[in-house]
Amino acid sequence: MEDGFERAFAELFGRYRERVYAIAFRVVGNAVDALDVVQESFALVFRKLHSFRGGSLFSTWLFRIVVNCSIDHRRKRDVARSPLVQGLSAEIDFIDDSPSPDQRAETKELGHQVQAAISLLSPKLRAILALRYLEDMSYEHLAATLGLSLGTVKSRLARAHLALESVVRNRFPQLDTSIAAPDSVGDVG
Amino acid sequence: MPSASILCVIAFSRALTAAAITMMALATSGWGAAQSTTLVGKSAVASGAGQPLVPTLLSLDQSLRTQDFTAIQLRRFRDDQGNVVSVRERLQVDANGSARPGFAVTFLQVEGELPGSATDLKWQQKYAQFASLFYTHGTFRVHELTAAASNYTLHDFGPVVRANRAARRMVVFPATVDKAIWVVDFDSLTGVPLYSVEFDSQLHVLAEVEVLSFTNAVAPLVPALSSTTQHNDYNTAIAFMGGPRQMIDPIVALTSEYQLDRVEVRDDPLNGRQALVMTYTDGVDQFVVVQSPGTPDFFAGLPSMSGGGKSIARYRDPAMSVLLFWDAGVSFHVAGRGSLRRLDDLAQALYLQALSTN
Amino acid sequence: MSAPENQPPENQPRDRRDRFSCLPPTCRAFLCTFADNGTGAVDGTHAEQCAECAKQHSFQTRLGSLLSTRPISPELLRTTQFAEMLHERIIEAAASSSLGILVANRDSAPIHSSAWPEALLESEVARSTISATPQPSPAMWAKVRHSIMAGVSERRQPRHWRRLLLGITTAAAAAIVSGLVLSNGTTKESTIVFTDLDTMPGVEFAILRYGALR
Repeated sequence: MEDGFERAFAELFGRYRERVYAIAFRVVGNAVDALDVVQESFALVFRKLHSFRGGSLFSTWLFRIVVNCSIDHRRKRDVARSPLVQGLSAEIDFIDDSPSPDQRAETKELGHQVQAAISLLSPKLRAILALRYLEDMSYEHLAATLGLSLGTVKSRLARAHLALESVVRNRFPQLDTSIAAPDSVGDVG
Repeated sequence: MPSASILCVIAFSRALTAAAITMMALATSGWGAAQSTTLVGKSAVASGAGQPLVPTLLSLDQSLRTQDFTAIQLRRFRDDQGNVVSVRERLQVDANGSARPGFAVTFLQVEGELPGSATDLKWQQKYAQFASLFYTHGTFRVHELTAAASNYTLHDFGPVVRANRAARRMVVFPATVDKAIWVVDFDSLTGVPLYSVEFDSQLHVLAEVEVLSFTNAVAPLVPALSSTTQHNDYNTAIAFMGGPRQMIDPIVALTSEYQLDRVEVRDDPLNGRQALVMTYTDGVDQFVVVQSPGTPDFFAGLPSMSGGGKSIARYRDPAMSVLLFWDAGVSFHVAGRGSLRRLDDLAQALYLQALSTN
Repeated sequence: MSAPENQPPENQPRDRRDRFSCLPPTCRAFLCTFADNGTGAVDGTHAEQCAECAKQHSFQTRLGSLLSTRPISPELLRTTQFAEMLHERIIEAAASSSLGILVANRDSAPIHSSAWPEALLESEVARSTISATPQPSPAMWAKVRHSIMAGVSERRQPRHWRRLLLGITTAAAAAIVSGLVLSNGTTKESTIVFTDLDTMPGVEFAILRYGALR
């Protein structure tokens, strides 16, 4: 019976842990804290599972928990970390399928700078950027996940983009240069 | 689509909590020979010899069938102001060898209230109406041994003292997380619960009963007039009611670990109606399916739903679920634990059963 | 308008108003609308007229790919050690609960009332008493009908129905909740609609759950 339970838990945990980690990492900014948030989130999921009413996707409910845990995590004064987690290197790679080693190295470096730039934003702005880009959430899904109105989602996302652009321009000029593209307005209606 | 094995994830969370409780168990220092007591009454259990050191579901089932007792106890409620109220009551149990002993629950007083106060009178009135339900449905009991053994596990937490008696603290843990967790101090001599507290899956208290004094004997009980008659099964009960139509013999496959525990017909002379009450148990927990023929449609006059849909009214809080629907002159309601959300599906299935029958 | 979430980082000077709030309404509207999946139609006219907004649009489009790059999780996340750490965390939470304290201390004292769930009283249930008659009174049923009708007018669409995933097994006892966990939107419509009541119906067996009276 215990083996069956553990297998079932492993399957659920395995399905969502990477996505939960990625969101947490975006918000808290480092691997150690992100792992703590993963644990806190799943522990909370077990405790609160019966409060999930089924009126929304489970992932919506889960990611709301993750965002709240991530934001709360920064407010906590003492975070107990196991030696295993404390010994973890802070160096994190980014998933990259660039064809050449040079390009992969460049992407990795850009990824670090992007995360560093995001880390200078407020937690709420980080959270909405994480959900929007890592989970490819629509405005409606963001609204449901964050418990916000559609209008607030749009304005908050716009604020996040503006703030990020400002940070990149002022603090990460090499990043700004690296992602510079030919003059283009993009899609127009 | 989720695979079958994933469904056990909830059970795993239960197992994790069970492991937590197990890890919290304190090493027992052992218990010497139980004190001997001169027993008065019909109890067949010899002094100190009938109960195992650590209660089992079997011993608790036997205790229910064999032990007479009289207890003064506090039953705690939330009142309508949100305060926890302790009501002192006398519980008398006259064992008869079955799982349904004779009993009497008598209101004594509200703790902290003067006799005759408005609060005191209010609770006195409530006890006059519902006291029997407190013992039947509101006290920790093993309603059905086999089912209880399948659906619950007992965890020993060692000796305690309760009501100046030696007792054993046990945790009764459900196999699924949509049920309550019980902590019960069982009297070492008789196996009778001297203290019980019920937790929901969030580990919040739902109910609490504390015995203050206990006597392993009972004075002869005067049979009380009852508006309830027991029946062996659905068909017998329906015949007793005069064969009202449009009622159903509920199919409760969606809650398969629950089995039919009792079938009763309750009279309501004030309204000239009867209700068929079928109680189901998983060995410890219960829910009821109540059918009342000859009732008006409480959904009449509502805007028609798209597709000709029907409506089930639902009330739920952390402690209980109540689901109501109506069909062909019969009102149905399903009532049970708040966390037992499967009752939603059961109510829907019963509604469909009623619709297909009529 | 100052939004707390837009305050500059701690080592930056504080501005009372963020950039977004300082923008003209047309710019704000433009920035709010074009980011939907990066493919939403944008106001080309505004982009041609407002260099700053055009620049923002271009920046965000280009940065999107980097923002979408998911960080690789540490290997630790996939180890049994990590799962055991989670296990311990759940155990610690249980140990600090009322139940945990009760069984650990084997205290004879009753549970403190603060351990009782506040949510038990969030509805009008807490503020009403049981009807004096076993059957619901006409007044109580009028309240029920009013609640139902109010709910019906708000929720015209049939409620999505939870799926029962498996048949008759013990695990099926958890199937309903598990189905909520993992169905991820795989619902089906039913002609039977659930309407939630704010007030507990005045039925006798509504109090039987554990004997606590409402």
